[in-house]
Amino acid sequence: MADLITHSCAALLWKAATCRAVPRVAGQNAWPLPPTVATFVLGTCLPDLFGRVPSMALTTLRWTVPSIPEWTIYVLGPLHMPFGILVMSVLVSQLFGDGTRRTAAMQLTAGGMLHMAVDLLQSHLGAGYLLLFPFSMWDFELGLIGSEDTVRIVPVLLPLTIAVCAWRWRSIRPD
Amino acid sequence: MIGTSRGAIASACVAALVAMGLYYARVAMSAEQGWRWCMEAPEARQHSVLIFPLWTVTSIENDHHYTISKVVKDVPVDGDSLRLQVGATVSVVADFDWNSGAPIARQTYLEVHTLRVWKERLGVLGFVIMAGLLPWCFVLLRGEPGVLAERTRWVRWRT
Repeated sequence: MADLITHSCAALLWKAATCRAVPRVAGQNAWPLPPTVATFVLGTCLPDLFGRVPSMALTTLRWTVPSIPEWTIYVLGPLHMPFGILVMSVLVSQLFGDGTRRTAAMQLTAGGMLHMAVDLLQSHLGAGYLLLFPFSMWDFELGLIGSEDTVRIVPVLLPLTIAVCAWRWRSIRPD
Repeated sequence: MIGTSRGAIASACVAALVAMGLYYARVAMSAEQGWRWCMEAPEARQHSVLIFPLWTVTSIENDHHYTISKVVKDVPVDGDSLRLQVGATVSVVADFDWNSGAPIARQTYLEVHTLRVWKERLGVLGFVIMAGLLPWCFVLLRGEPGVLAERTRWVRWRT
């Protein structure tokens, strides 16, 4: 997995490229982000927050508390796989209101798929990502960058993202 | 929420995720590879290839012996440990060797992930930023307990 900063930057850049800001209404203190951006970024973060972080924490915790069952390490793994991301997105979207639930599910899912696309760029020793689980154990990754190469990218990516988003979403004025 | 279509959909999603999670755990724990699988029948699995991606060095015995941990704790590895330190993240390919009297993984390939610690720090920083900022991007809908919406204005509630 890439780090959350890289994933969030990728999500914001994607949205900056595809999403136009809502024109400001005079006298109204508008929220700076266009609609769906926050949900999309949340969807990008969910696979790591629920599918990876708890497993990593439990793995380390088991070294000192061996009574923790091993299955607990794996049980959240599908949340970092495409079909699991889809189901998780539908689940989380149930927190949204009637009018926005379908949109929220689509944005969360799309964010999760962008997460997978970024992760697929990496190369790992051994197995890649199980893209078709639970229907197949076929694994795949593109292997274009090392698993830590995002550390080198972040110092450029973060200011670039801030600059692009600020330019893209503040430069649009009411028609 | 329970008793509504939202509740039904949420329940179905939770059931699907639990089923997938348990299935994945069963598959992962019964995989016919790895240190534990070799230790189940060590003589029959002599010279099996072991792959340890992103494991943590937990002790260094000497210049040629160290242990690594992840799902299994303290797997002994026979290989060059001069570049290692306790806590480092490594990927190791090894040959399972039982005949030497004590089971050991004889290292054939070693990759030290020197930037891993920075990646973890970035991950924590990203988590802190997300945890701090994302809640600000959503509001609770007035009159509908537990229902979220994306924020569109600097107000606490959205009607």
